[in-house]
Amino acid sequence: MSKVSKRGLGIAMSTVVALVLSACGGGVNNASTSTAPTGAALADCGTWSIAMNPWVGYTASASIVAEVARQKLGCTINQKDLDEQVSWQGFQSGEVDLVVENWGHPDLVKKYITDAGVAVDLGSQGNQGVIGYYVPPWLAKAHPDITDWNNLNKYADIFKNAESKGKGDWIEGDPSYVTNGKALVKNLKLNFNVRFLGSEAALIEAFRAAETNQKAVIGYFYEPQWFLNEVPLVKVNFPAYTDGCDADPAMVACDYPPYPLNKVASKKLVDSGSNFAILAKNFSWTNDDQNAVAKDIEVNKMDPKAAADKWIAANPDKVDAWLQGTK
Amino acid sequence: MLNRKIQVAIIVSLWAVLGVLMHGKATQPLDASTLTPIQSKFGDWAAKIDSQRNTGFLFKYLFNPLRAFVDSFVKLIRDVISLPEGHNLIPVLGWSGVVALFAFVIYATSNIRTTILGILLLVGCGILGVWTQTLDTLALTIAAVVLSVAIGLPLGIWAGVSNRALTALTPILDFAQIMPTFVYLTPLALIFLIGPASATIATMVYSIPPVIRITAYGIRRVPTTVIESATSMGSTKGQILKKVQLPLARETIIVGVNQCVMAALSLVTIASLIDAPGLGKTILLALQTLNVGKGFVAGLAIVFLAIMLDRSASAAGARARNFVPPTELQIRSRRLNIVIAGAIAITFMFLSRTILTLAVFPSSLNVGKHVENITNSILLWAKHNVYFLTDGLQNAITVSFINPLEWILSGTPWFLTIGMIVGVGFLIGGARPALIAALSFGGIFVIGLWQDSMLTLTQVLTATVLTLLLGVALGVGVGRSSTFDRLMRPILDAGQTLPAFVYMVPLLGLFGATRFTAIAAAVFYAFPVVVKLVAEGIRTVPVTMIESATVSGSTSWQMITKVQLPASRKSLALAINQGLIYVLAMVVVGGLVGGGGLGYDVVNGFVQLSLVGKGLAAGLAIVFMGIGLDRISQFGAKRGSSVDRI
Repeated sequence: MSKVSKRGLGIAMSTVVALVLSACGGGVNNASTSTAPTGAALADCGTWSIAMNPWVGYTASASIVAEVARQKLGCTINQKDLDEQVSWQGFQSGEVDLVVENWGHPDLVKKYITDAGVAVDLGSQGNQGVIGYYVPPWLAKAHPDITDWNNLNKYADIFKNAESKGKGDWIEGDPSYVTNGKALVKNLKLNFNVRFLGSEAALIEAFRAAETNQKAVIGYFYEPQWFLNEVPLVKVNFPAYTDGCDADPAMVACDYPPYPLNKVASKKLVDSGSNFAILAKNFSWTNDDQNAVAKDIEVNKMDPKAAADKWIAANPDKVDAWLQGTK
Repeated sequence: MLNRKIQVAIIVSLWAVLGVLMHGKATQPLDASTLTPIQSKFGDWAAKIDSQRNTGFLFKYLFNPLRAFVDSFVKLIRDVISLPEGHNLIPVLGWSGVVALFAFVIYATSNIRTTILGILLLVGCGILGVWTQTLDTLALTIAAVVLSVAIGLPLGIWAGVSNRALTALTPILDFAQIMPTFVYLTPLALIFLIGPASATIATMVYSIPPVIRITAYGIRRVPTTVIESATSMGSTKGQILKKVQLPLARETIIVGVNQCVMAALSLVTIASLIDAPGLGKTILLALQTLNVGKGFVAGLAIVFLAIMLDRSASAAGARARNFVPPTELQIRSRRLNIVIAGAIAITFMFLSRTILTLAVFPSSLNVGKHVENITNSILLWAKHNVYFLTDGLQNAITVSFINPLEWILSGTPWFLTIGMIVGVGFLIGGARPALIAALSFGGIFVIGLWQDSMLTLTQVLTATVLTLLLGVALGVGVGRSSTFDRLMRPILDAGQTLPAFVYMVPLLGLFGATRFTAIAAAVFYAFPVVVKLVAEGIRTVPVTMIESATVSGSTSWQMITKVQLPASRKSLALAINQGLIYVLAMVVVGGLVGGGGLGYDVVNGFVQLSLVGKGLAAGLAIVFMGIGLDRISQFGAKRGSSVDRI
């Protein structure tokens, strides 16, 4: 008995060997290079990695860049699901070549661009970023003065629910996002309890439910974001941002600065002079562009690649402008 | 006995009264962005480790080569079955070739029925539209299992023949199995970075222990008379091991490998948090985008994989169990069959490289999107129509149980709570668990995460109570009725083999990002083991006891409460212990979906570079809490059993 299965295993092993040998021959793989670029003879683009940060606006921008690079330039692009700050580490470890939508991060800029010199600022990607705290529209209509932070404590009671520990419910998204929520609540002495829902989708779900059921909630949100077209959340004004008021994360008591969103690339990519580096430098689009693609992904449940294909087909002139200067 | 119960009650009420009086004092609250000096120190260590990545001695000569080796091993397997290179459309093998290869291996080690089941399940994963992800998960699982067996088998044999080795290994194995998997991902990522290699290494931490344990057990189980007779015939120790102990332990060793495979599959899914490719990633993405349908599809594929791996390993074990020697004719026909199967497999592998439909899984067969949409519509319907039920249940438990418990645990001064835990630990377990509890909960205070730990403890206690209510009720049913047992068995098996992550998705859809979701997921994860232990306890109650109770006219209810449950006290205590450990492991994962507490600190430390130290500290706090809870409940279980004997 034991002889049989040993023999069985032996044959299994030799099959694997035979198989690996036969693998040297051609077949389907060599016959079809499905991702062939449309242009004539292009310079070899190489293999590059784009970080995929976890919010749908980012997914939209990065999918567009990845698909243009694949289809028009014949690049091999790896998309890696990484959080914002972890992506920056990737410039150093060689795991990441491009971040297409960077929200500030002065500490990381200093560490990786200025000091270590492993990353390079590739300039604006066109989107203007806003971060802030928002309330559902029905609430702002019912209590117009709620958009001034000074009045938040006056209304704290209507924000109470089972999860908010006797205080007002203050929701935040993914813990990896840029946020000063807890510091604001503490330093401005707001009678609110900060709760992290864990993702962008959970935030959207909570705001949508609050608007439908006329529940009061205040939470972290940002632009560009397609959801604001569906439910126009109203921003609450906090003490205005002044230079350096957010220097110490524990002591922040002011609003967020405006974020002109930019692209950051690895030194390796920039130095290579690859066509992908040129595309990455040229890439720029508007908040509306991003919202259109993001909405296809999130609401119409399209695959990010399919949503990107659709936008690329509909906007050939914008895509051509990004390809200026490629070889 | 009664006396001790009264003492416990006195301590707990004293704690509660003092806690209310001193509410809010000495609770060690900590702002999200503040770190204690010890936590900053952890952060500095992490930065120091990070800066030595290319120069440090340990990195140069141990960690980096190890990572490179595991990385290339995983890559080799992925290249063959799941990862197309460069511009290629397919890996070395197309989908049908992969199916043929696995079918052949299953056939050669077990039987034709299991082979057909395996083929159907693998093709099923393709039909669900997640072929590549499934094969990525499978590739990582295979890599982890091969390496685990290569390391675990020799260690297991060593622990089987040497008492000293067994004593040395046992606490390490205990630790590796108690520690919630979630906790060691961060330190491992610190050393081995993120990616498939560190994911495989993390998986091995969890999948090696069963191999060592069960192999040692199998070797030790060989009757001493057999070994003595072999010795008397002049066999050397090596000969005895090779010719007697190993062959006789074979069946048990295969069980160990089976356990190893299931453990690996479960962890490979969670390891998506440190960038492991595969189905876990799809589930993580589904959690992030609240796309329950997508998560369901990936979860279903994991179930398929789990069934395939479990059944083929059990069937291989059953073959090994067959002691009737086959006839010459049987051997010959079996050989012929294997050769034919091998020829078929090779043909398919060849064809999978030349014919497109056999290479790339045909998208016309892909029903994944439909399954996703149907699931999402069902959930949407449930959300609107069962809302009053789910929302009512959630609110009732949150308001009447979680909130008050959290209020008192997180608001009571730390020294009072530690005093209470130590006192209760002393009463149920004696001096040793009291000391361990003092050290572990004291440790939590020292690293400065008391309040967050109490938030987690609230969820652990709530989930454990719910798990025990559900588990004991079902366990009594399963233990008393064989029909109910047959009905429940597949559910329990599925519950135990399913990776923890999978539960999270539908619960998140129903209950949103709240503490209740974390608790509900923990209950689902932990109740099967409680049911099994309770049922086992009920079954082993001596028949004579049952008969005498029946004769004296007990009703079923009296039989359960006065005879069967008291007599299975030892199993109940063990069930509480296991329930606590399972619940803790899952509750911290709930930090990903609004659970808060230590699990959230771990996640946050992972993604916010300035909070790395706090995340590491939170991981340590979870370990402390696990050890404390485990020891108290385990000593309680031992004491319960000693009462049993009297």
